[in-house]
Formats: sequence, structure tokens, C-alpha cells
Amino acid sequence: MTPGTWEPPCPREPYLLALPSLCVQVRSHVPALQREFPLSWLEELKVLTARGAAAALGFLIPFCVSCNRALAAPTAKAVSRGSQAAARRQDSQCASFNAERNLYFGDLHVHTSYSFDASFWGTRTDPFGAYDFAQGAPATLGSPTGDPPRTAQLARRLDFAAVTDHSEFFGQYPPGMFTGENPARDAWAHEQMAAQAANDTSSDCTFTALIGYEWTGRWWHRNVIFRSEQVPELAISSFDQTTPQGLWAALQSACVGAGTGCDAITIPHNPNFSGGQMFNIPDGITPAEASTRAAMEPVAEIHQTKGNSECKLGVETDDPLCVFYQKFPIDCLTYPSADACSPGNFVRNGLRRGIQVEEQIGVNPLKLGIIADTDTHNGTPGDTDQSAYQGHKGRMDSSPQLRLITTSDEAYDNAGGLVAVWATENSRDAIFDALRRRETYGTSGTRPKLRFFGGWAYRDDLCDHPDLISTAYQNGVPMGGDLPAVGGSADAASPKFLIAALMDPGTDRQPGTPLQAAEIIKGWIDPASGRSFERVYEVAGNPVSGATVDTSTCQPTGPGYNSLCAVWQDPDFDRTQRAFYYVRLLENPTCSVYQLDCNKIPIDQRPASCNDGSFHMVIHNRAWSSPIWYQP
Amino acid sequence: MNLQSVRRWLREPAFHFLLIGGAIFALHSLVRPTSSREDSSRLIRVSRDDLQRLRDGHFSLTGEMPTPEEERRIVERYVSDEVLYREAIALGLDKGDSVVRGRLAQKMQFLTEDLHPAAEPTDAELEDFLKSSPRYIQPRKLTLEHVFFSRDRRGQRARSDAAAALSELENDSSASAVSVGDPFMLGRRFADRSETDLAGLFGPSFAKEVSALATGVWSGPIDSSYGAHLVRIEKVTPSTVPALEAVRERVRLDLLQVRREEANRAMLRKLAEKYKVEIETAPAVSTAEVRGK
Repeated sequence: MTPGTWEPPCPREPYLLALPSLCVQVRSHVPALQREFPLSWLEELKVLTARGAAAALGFLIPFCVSCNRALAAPTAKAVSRGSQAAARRQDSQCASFNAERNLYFGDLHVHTSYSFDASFWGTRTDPFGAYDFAQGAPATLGSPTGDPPRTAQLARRLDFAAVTDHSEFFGQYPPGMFTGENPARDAWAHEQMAAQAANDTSSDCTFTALIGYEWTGRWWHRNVIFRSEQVPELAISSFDQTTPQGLWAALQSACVGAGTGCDAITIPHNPNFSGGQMFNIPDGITPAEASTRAAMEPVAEIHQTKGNSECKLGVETDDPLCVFYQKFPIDCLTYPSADACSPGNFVRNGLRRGIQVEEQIGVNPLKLGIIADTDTHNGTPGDTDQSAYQGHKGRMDSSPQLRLITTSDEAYDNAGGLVAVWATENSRDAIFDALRRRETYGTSGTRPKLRFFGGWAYRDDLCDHPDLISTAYQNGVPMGGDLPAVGGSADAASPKFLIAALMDPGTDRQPGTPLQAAEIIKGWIDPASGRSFERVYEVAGNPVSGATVDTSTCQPTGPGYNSLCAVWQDPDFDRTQRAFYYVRLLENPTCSVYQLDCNKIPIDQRPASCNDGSFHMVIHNRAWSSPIWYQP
Repeated sequence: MNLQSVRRWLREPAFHFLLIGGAIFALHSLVRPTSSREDSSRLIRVSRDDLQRLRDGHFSLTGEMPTPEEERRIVERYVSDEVLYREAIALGLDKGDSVVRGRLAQKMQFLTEDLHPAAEPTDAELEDFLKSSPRYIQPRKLTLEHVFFSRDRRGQRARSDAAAALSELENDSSASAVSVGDPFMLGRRFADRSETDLAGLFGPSFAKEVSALATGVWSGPIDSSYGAHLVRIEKVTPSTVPALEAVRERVRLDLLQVRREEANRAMLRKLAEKYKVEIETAPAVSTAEVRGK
């Protein structure tokens, strides 16, 4: 049976005819009449209504509940089967196939009205609407009661996206929509249908929609992303599995190891408020546990609306550029023991911990490539344009004034980031493969283009070579890879890296910001002590070029680069030291979303936080490449 | 009273009715649970299901099941909310509240929607829908080769260097494009790209200019966000509607949705028939004017 041919709902027993409202089971999607949200007391109203009906009809309610369970089962199953049987990816190659890989921008962290929190906050856009938004359609955003509706639209469409609603309370939101025996399964079926409908499997390869969801454990948030339409019957939630280890095991049995063609990865996000737990690998981890984690988690989300997670000044580093869209303004140089100052909260520290564990047990559990996403709760994937920022949490942060309240949960949020992948074509398999091999980078929302390769035999003038990219692939590895074993006749004594970047070309509405500098961040282990170290190297551009921005108009001034290219050789290489290298590409300074928000308010009405140093008003938008690792 | 009249009484159907009715009432009062003897609007019962729901809610927020103490407070809160809610209903506070009105309207909408399953479309219907929907139209696409002259490397000379190289290419068609110009990290050749794709790669003005170029010849210089380019269009793929087989599942799911929407709108129209709608006219006054006063 297909999603379009559902059987008429419940009443099959005469006494139930009186209770049709309690027996409607499966709801279909209706984009034009987008659905609203709940308040908890309305949930109670639903219960009350049911109780009222039950009281009126004597003792029928317990019978009806059990009948509902018994009768709903086949219908719900049918929905699930219908969507799983939907379009298979065609074998034909995309017309824009490129063996040297194309660059695609996407967003793999998107909440819609199917998420309990987004639904609370007044978001009406559902998964179907979110995929439409990613491809350029407008969306309506949640507003406080009485305020006029707001809309948003992308100036540049995305190439791919995954809607990742919370699997906790799946099917209970929007309230009243899924009323069958298994609302969670029905909602999951709808999520799949939305992705199937948006995924372009023709040779045009216009858009890739990946199926996914968010698993929200207390400290260990993960997005689960599937390779194809082969997915488990149910989205395993933190009610089912309370730990990441449990989630991986459940995904092993229900998906990766099930022999059905199902394949999945889990993407850790918001390590910045994991209470130090996200990358806190205990000393006793076994090689098997480390291998499982590395296999399930090839990439981590370094940036999103709820803050940046690269690093934190004072947490094993004195790198001043870590001060960038930090969710917690706490000074870790002064309060190093605070939860928010734990190294387990940051990707760079996690990468360092990873090679440290590898030094001990031979397996790196934190071999993490880099991506960034929005984590929008407005159903608006890719909505990262800082000058058009309207918040990401429905009515909670719908105005500049609300976003500038330093004590609110929404304070210190930002417009979120994008994931960039280098893939041969824009298809589910190609994007998923790129995530698996970590040929990805994250941006703080803009679209600079960044390539990064490592090898032993790159010529110093490779940037002048017309075929620099094919040469770079032939003689080395791209971002996310392991440096090959050294030993060729042309090999240098220390590894060489190619860094090539182009500025974001921008749009008609808004020109891109020129590049300022590219840096390489190296982390390594001293094998004698087992301790980890890091260092930031300037490799291209000019970090002190004098470029700046006028905060009253947000107009940038000063020199910048349209492109950067450099071959860099590690001057401190020691072949006994396990190491990783990643690129941080900086754009010229611009106004932060906070300054942009302050400027929308007349000067005499601005909140104190616009002038009291609560927020960083000037920022460098940036990109972070996946690392390249060296093993002795 | 004589025996005769007693007999007549006993044969009277009205008497039977009273007798049977009395028995039913007596039986019912025995069977009926005590709680329903009380005014049910004054009973607040936290059922096992309610309790589980409250525990789940706590779990989703904290990742842990509530302790007995936490559970006591959660239930207390639930009960006090329920008391306030019922008092509010009793006072009619739900009337004239736009939020309550909106939520109830939405619940009714969910109840009325989708009671009629959309029919599975035939191939002919899918074809029609595909042809009539602009969303499936593929834009015109270009396959092109370019030679890049970097503004970062050459500064002001980027454009003139490109112009000079163009005349070289025009004079000597065998001149390899590879031998002139600067390396470009995205490559020299781009297959099947729409104007939108090209805008993302080179910037919007470049994309516009290139879209107007003739095929098969080197043209330029054309400025991008990065410098000057010489461009040769290899192939133009005109705007097309894809074959049904290539997009069948997308079209099918979209059409089913459209049909469900139509069915839902028809249902709403039918419900609306029960009502007579009167809309008064009033002169329009903008909110700004009202605020100004």
C-alpha cells in the first residue's frame, strides 16, 4: 500500500462509531495549510476532551484505546513501507560529474514543526516546507502572538540538506497531527517522504535531500544522517538509547549491520555545551570502542547558531582567534575550572585528545572531519546570511531586541554555519561518501571556497601549476585524509601542504567579503610524555593588513584578497610525533550579528548590551577545513 | 382495592415499564463506580498514562528520570495547572482569546483533513502534472572552458593580459588554453552549469555575461569576483522538462500532496456552507496612523 491510499480510519466496531475523533489515525502532509504548535495545556485539553467524551459514553474509553492500538497497526506499517519503496537512486551519472570534485554547500541540522521545541516556539514550516526553502522558496517564521507574520527566503539556494527533527516526542508535534497507534513511526514516515519528494534523482542533480533526525541525549547531541532511503523502522531516540554507545549499537543492529543496504553516520554537535562530556574520552577506552566511535562519527559540527565550538581562549590554548561567536562569554583564563572551560567542549581539544588516545591504544576515536550547520528551529536550512538574520528559534528570538537580552537562552546565538563538501556529483551517495572520507569543511555562514591537500612531494611553485588540483590529488591526500607513508625518491623531509582559497563571490544583493589570511593549526603528541601541543602558523594572506569595518554603517574598508594560494612545509616536523593539521581561513573583518542587530534599533532606544562590551561587535567570518593526519 | 383492580394494575404496561426502569436504575447504582457519583468536573485524576507522559517530559529535558521528590513536584505542578485551567474554562476565559481560537481551529482542521485518501495518479496524470508545473523545468545550462587572469597576481594588468591572450588564441586556434593564464582552484572546465551555479562559482555579474556568449569561440575578458576570464562555451543545453522516468517519484509525491490539499479545501468549503458570512466594510486606517494618534 502506498502513502496515497490509506484505509479509512478506525471505526469498525459499532460502539466506536460514536467516537470518530478518537480513532483518526494517520495524517498526511498538507504544505499549504501549515500546521501549528502546541502549548502543554493544550495537550491537556486534548486529554480532557477525551475524558469528557469517555464520561459521556460511560465505560467505552478503555475499549476505544485498545481498539485504536489494534486497528492502527497495519495502517502505520503501510505508510512506512510505502515511503521506503519510494524512488531508488538511478545509476546514471550527474551531467555535472567532475572527477576532481565539485564544491557543494548544504545544511545537515534543521528543525521544523515536527520538533517539539520548534513547535513550541511557533514554527509552522514542516519538513516538506524546509526542503522547499533550501531550494529557494520562501518560508513563514514563528512570531509572538499579535506580531505580523515574518518571512524568509534564501538569496542562494543550497545544494543539499537534511531535516533533522528531534526523535524525542516524534509524532507528538505538531499536536493533533499524528494520532495513530504509533505517532512516532508515522512522523518518521513523513520525514522520509519529504526527503524522497525533494531529492532529485535525475541526471540534473539539482538538489540532494538526505534523510536524518536528531538524537538528543543530555550532554551528547547527535544528528543521525542516512545514506539512502534504507532506514530503520523507527528513529532511535534518547528514550530508547540514553548513551551514544547505545545509539551506535542500536544503529549497528537496525541499520549499518542489518544487511539491508542501510548506512548511517552520527554527527556530534554543540560540544560547547556538553559540560565537558562530548570529547572526554576516558583512559580505559578499548580499541574496539574507539573503532566503533571513529567509524560512526567521521565528522563533527564546529559551528552553528548556538555558538562556535572550535576552541576557547584559556582552554589548553592562548589563540586569540578562538574568541568567535562564543555561546558562553565566561573568561576561561580567569575561571579555568568552570564546566564551560573543559577541553571536552571543543573540537580542537578533541582532535588533540584523539591522537593522544591513538598514541596509547593505536586507534583514534576522535578522527573528526569538520562541518558546520545552522541548527535552525524555523525550518529554514541554510539561512545564514548575517545581514538578513531574523533569529533561528521562532518567536523566542524574533526581534533584534529579544536577541540582545544577555540573560536570555537565546543570547550569544548567531546566524549559524554551512557545510561544504567536495564531491564528484550532487547525489546522496556522493555527498555521503564525502562526509565519510571527511572531504568537507565548515563555514560560519558565508561561502568561501577552500581546498587543502597534504603530501611529501609537492613542488614549492605548485600554485603556479595549471593543473594544481589534479597534481595535488595525485601526489597527496585532500582534507580529511591521512598523509601517505613517506619514502619516495622525491619526498621531502617534512610534509608539504597546499592551501588554495577563493573569496565568497557574494550575491547581487550583497557582495562577498575579501579574504584576509589562511592559517594552519597543528596539533601533535610528544611520544615521551604523551602530552599534546598545538601551534597556529600563518601561511597566506596578511593577518595584520589593516582591513577593518565601520561599525556605524558596517561598511568594510582596507585591503583584502580575492584568492589565496600557498604551499607550506611544516618547519617543526618530527617524524616520531603523531600530528594533525587543519586550515582556518579568515575573511576580512565585518560587523557581527549583534552589531547588525543594534544598528536596526534607533540609537536612543538601544539596549545597554549594544555599548557595554557584552558582545563582540566585529568578527572575522571564517572556514575550518577537515584535518589531515600524520601517523609515525 | 379488590383483587380485580390489582390484576388490572399488574397487566398495565405502564406498570411494567416503571418496574423494569426501577430495576435498571437500582442495578446501575450498584455497578457504577463511586467516583462517577461525584461531579466529574470536580475530579482531577492523574492516570498512569498521565504520569508516564510527565516522566517522559522530564526525561527529554534532563536526560534522566525524575527522582521521587522531582516527580512529586511535577505532579503538583500538573494538578495546580489543571485546577487553574478548569477555573479558567468555568470563567469563560477561553472565549475571545486569539491563541485558544487558533489552536482549536487547527485541531478541527486536523480532524477534518485527510479523511478521503488521495487516489494513486495514473501515468497520464503524472505526465500532465510534470508538464504543467514550473518546478520541474530545468534551466538552460552551459558547458564551458575558461582561462583565468588573477587580479591578486596581476592587479590592474589582469584585464589587459587577458585581452592580449585573447588575440593570441584567436590567431592560433591550436594555442593550448593551458599555456596562458593563471591556475584556478576550481578547474578549467565546467560541465552543465546553470546561471545560478555559475553565479555561485564566479559571482553574479560573470554568470549574467557568460549566459549571453556565443558558442564555440573564445570571448572576453569577462570580470569575475577573482579576476578576468576568457571563456569558450562548448555546449548549450536548452531549458527542458525532464522525462517522467527521471523524476517519477518526486512528481508522484508532489501530485498526491496537491490532491490532498484540494480535498482538504473542498472539505473546508463544505463545512463553511453551514454558515452565512457577513463582512462589514470599514475605511482602511494603517496601524502607523493609529499609533501616531
